[in-house]
Amino acid sequence: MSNAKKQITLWLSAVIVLFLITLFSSRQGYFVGHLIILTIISAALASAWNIVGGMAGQLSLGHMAFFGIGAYTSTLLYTKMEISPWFGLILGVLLSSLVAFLVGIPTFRLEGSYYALATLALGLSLYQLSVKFVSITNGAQGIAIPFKDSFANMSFSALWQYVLLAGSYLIIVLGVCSYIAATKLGFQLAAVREDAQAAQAIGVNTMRVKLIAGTISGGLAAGIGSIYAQYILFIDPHSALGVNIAIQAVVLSVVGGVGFVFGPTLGAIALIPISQIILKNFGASAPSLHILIYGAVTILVALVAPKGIIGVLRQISSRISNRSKAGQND
Amino acid sequence: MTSQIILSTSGATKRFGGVTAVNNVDFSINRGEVVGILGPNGAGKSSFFNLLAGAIQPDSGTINFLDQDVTSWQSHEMCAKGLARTFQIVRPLKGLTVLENVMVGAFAKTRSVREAKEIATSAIELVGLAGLENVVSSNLTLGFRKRLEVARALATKPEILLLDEVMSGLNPAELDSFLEMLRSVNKDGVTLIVVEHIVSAVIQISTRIVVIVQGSTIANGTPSEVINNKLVIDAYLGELDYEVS
Amino acid sequence: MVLVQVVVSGLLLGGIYALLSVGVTLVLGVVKFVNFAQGELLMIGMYATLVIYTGVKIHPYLALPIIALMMFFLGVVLHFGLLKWTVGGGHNLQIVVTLGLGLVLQSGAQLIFGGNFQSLGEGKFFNSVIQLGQIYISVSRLITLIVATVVTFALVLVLDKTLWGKAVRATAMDQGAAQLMGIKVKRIYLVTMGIGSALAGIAGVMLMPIYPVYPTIGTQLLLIGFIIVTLGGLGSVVGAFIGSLIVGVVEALAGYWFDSSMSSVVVYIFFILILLVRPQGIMKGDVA
Repeated sequence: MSNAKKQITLWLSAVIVLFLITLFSSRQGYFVGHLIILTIISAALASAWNIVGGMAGQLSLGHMAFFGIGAYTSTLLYTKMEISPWFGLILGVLLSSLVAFLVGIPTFRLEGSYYALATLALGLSLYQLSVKFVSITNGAQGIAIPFKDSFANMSFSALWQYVLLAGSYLIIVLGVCSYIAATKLGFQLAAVREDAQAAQAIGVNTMRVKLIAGTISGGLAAGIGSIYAQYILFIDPHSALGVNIAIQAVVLSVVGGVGFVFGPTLGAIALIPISQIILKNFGASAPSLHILIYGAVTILVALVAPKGIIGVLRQISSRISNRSKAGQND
Repeated sequence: MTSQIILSTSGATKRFGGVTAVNNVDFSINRGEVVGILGPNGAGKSSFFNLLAGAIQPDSGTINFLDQDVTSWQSHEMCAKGLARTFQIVRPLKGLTVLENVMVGAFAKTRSVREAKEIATSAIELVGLAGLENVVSSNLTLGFRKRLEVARALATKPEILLLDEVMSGLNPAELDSFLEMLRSVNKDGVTLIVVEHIVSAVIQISTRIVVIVQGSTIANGTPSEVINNKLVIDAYLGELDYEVS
Repeated sequence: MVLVQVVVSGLLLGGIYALLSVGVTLVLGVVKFVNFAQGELLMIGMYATLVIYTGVKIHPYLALPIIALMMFFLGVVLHFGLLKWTVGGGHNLQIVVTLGLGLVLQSGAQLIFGGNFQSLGEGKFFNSVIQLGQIYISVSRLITLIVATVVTFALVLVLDKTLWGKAVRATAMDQGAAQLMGIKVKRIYLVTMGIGSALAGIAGVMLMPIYPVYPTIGTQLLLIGFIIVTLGGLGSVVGAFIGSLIVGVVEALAGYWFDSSMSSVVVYIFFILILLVRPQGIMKGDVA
């Protein structure tokens, strides 16, 4: 199958899958619909993270900052100036990209752990700032978003419409990831991830390549933040800028397969529904049980199956094809 | 062979703390040559190599490449201009296949995935790795990993290829076929600088040899000139029987 | 005069940080291991202090050696049972695994102790203050600084003068060469991880009378710990100590000039500045 045909089939299947999921969710009750939307949103954020964290191998611990910039930008513009969240989303993406770029400049020159620490510092800073500057962000009380359903307000009355909204965004993010993976940038990112010094010697401008990945990653994360805000209709420092947001992105990607285009999505499918169900049933008595599971699963996967679910699937499929080859030789 | 100087240093000096690793070295290489650099361990060969490659910058002196002052240039800039290097301890991009590894090199000179694949495939063929394109590079034996290093560097379409003790660890049979491979690379138009330990190998393949001892050049000539040079024998080779072909 | 008070408070704050960051830098310098669960180890030290004080009524400062020993063994067990698989596996792997470990410890603490802030309540030294001229010094913080200084000093002495300390430094400088000289590198790693954990535990003990504990206290302290380690020079124990005092003063000054809630933001900006200006830190990266 030629490359172009592959691309078209992939896109078509993605659209069909989205359509089917949307159809499915329109028949479900609130809990299942909500679950699907949360899974998609988490998958989109984790996939955005994956560009810098997985493909470039630069572990960011601050993606809550970008998510939060998106959420707060569109929300503030909407609630205070009645600007459509669609514009707010785009503005948030641009602002977030800029911030990601600026954070990258001092840190990408140095070894990977510094980027992790600096992004964590960024996220924690924005959290503190949003708590403090009450006049802008309403502080810890958060901002409630008024609901007036219309397309222009990115507000919808049926859950399946949010599924479509978030799902389309996820497809865009995945599209960006696939594009990167299939072009020069993807190869160069992989080289930097594997061995930055060797990559530099073969002509890869590691700084430039990391900056591009970091900027795109930060920008895309903001968009899903805006969508989240418009769905939940309430944001506060904890839900939009909390550390757990960043950590979840890492966990989902690691479990699903860090560096692979569909890894974070598989991770989201594997973990989010379970964690939401646990939250629902044990939320009162054991509120952080799902975090415990996240932690344990992360350790397990990182040590035993470092390529995540996708790695395991690939191993199984190559073993099957090896067996069938062996069978053919008999 | 045109005698056209493509890479030269003038007074190149590099100090590490109190040690002068490279001491005021003048060096030049013409297009098409194969220059071997010999010298005892710790004599400054590797430091000089890294200066040429742009991995480190000299404290004083200049480096000139293709009529341009590249003294302060870094390795990826040197690579873009046409100087590629291999690593002494091979550094394959472990998670990538042979083809993907070499394609990264090719991307130094092209944007197109299709073209990178073509360049990579011919480089892989030139070094004798044809058929192993889809093997994950961490699964290769040492000899093949070294060829991969060379292929990857070749894919950047260099004028000069710097080989850093690339032959250590190879058994005699592997060594012979490796030298053959380097000869065909050179015939293909790539100038080679070979920093080595294995004196016999360097003598076989070089058109000219430079001997560096304690940071300075003590000899510079054809292989037979160099091994019969008294200074070299005293400082480095001792009385040895070498056949120059 | 107020400024002097602020600086003094900052120095005392630095004392607390010193215990944490010395542990981080030791592990980083010797085992070359990035431990993002160090904050949670401090948290465990704090909860252990709480439990012992409220349960068995032993004063934290008296319980210190017990908890330090307990944390040492915890560190050894964690390394032997889990973390040793990541040594040499690259910083990214270590960050991911220790992050996961941190999550487990954090949520475990939440399940056991609940999410509320918990303090020791009343106790000797906890709230007493001594006065030197115009300067007020909190006794518990002063004791912390003294303990931090003693511990750091002891550590530097051990590393410098004892045979074992030299083996540790050799391992830090060149693990391969050290092994060839007969040094049992794996054992050194084990002990170093234990010490790092013990130091975090001691930091927790000293912090408990001063500050309330809650399950997620680890994250912020971890970041400060690594900032200090960067400032002080990776692997330098003395650097970490000095860096802690500097960061403590910076944070205190920021709290005074701007706002107490902004003080950590200022420290983070300070961090970015360090990365821009002198990422290798103030001391050369030799352990001790």
